[in-house]
Amino acid sequence: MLKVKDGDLDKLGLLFERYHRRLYHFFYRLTHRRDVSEDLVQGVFERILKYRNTYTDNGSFATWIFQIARNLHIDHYREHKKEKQTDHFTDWEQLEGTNLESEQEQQESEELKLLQQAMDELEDTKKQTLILSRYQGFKYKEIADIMDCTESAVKVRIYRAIREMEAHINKLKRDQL
Amino acid sequence: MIEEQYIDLVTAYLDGSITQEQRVLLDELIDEGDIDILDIKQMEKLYNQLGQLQDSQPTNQLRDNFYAMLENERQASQKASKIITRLTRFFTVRRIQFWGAAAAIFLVGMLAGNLLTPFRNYRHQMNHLSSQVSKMREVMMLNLLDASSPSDRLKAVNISTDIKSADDQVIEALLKTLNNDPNVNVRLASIEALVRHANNPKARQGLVEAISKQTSPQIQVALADAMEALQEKKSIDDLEKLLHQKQLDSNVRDKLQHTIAALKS
Repeated sequence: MLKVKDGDLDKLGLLFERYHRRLYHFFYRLTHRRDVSEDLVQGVFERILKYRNTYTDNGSFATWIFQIARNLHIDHYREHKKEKQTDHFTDWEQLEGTNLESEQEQQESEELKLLQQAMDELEDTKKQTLILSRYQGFKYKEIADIMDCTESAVKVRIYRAIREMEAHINKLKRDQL
Repeated sequence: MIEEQYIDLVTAYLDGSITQEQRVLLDELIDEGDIDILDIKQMEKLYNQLGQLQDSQPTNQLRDNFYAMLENERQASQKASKIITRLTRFFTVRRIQFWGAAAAIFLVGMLAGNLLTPFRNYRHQMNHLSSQVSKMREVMMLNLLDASSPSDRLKAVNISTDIKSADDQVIEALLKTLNNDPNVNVRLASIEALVRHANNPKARQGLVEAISKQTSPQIQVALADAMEALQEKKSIDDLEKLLHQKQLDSNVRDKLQHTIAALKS
């Protein structure tokens, strides 16, 4: 990144290759929209180019790029507040369309469906924290840097997110009975 | 339900970052019933199940868009770089000195121009105004010279003395007055006026030629005085001719002799 800062723009290509999938997955988990997620990934790299002179080699680059990603998602969420941000679009048809041979597979599929619904119900900050931990593999300290909060706050958010999801799944199961 | 005071332990257990010491402590808490093992296993199951949730892969469009953006940025950056290079070349030390000196000269010129322009304008306006006044005086004088009243004609002649650079039209008018005006005082005034414009050759010539035309002793004496004052040697012949006239006033004769002597000396 320091080379990009010094004007070697070709090096941004390397960073893109290294990070664009992780960023895409982060946005996709939040939005469930392929087009929006790709636009947001592009937006991250546009911001990197725009603010490359502000980069300092103090922390990890991954933390820095995900800080940008998180801020971009917040901006996107504000701009599209009137729209349903997480449109709960899940390709259930695709899941259901596959030949689920066994009853066990059907049950697992049903559980995943409920899990996804429960996750979508989470408040945005908790969902981001959980995604960064569970899918992006960041340590709690790193997540604290990205989310601009304490490590303890990150742990509390993870704990409460899981608890809320459990409660929500149980409620959904009760509703199905 | 696990109490929130054990959150550090639980979250460390969930993401696999639990230390040996924490593991021992967690086992103790489970053994003592402070943490329900089913509870923590349920959380672990849900945390692990998250990994099975549907995911998606980016399309090639994302890569295409990125590299298009990068290319645009590179070109923009190259343009900016070229401009900076040109500016750097332009502002070498020698060129800075040269352009600095040129700018200083230009500024001094501008300053001087700004300082002097008002005066120049003022002077120009004054000259223009003065010229206009002279024109007005001239017109007034020429009109008054044709007036029937001697006092008006006298005024006209006096006005002519205020005209600094009288043109031929004024001189001719004064000479006409000198030779033709019936009033002696007006004619005397015209002599005085013509003397004031003696730098005009026509005025001098007219005065000389008037000597032979005048019959009034007062005018003859005034002309003789004028010739002496102007040191007009060309008038000597005309003065001598006048001197030889038999009917000439004796006072005039004395004056002419004195004048001719003065001019010849």
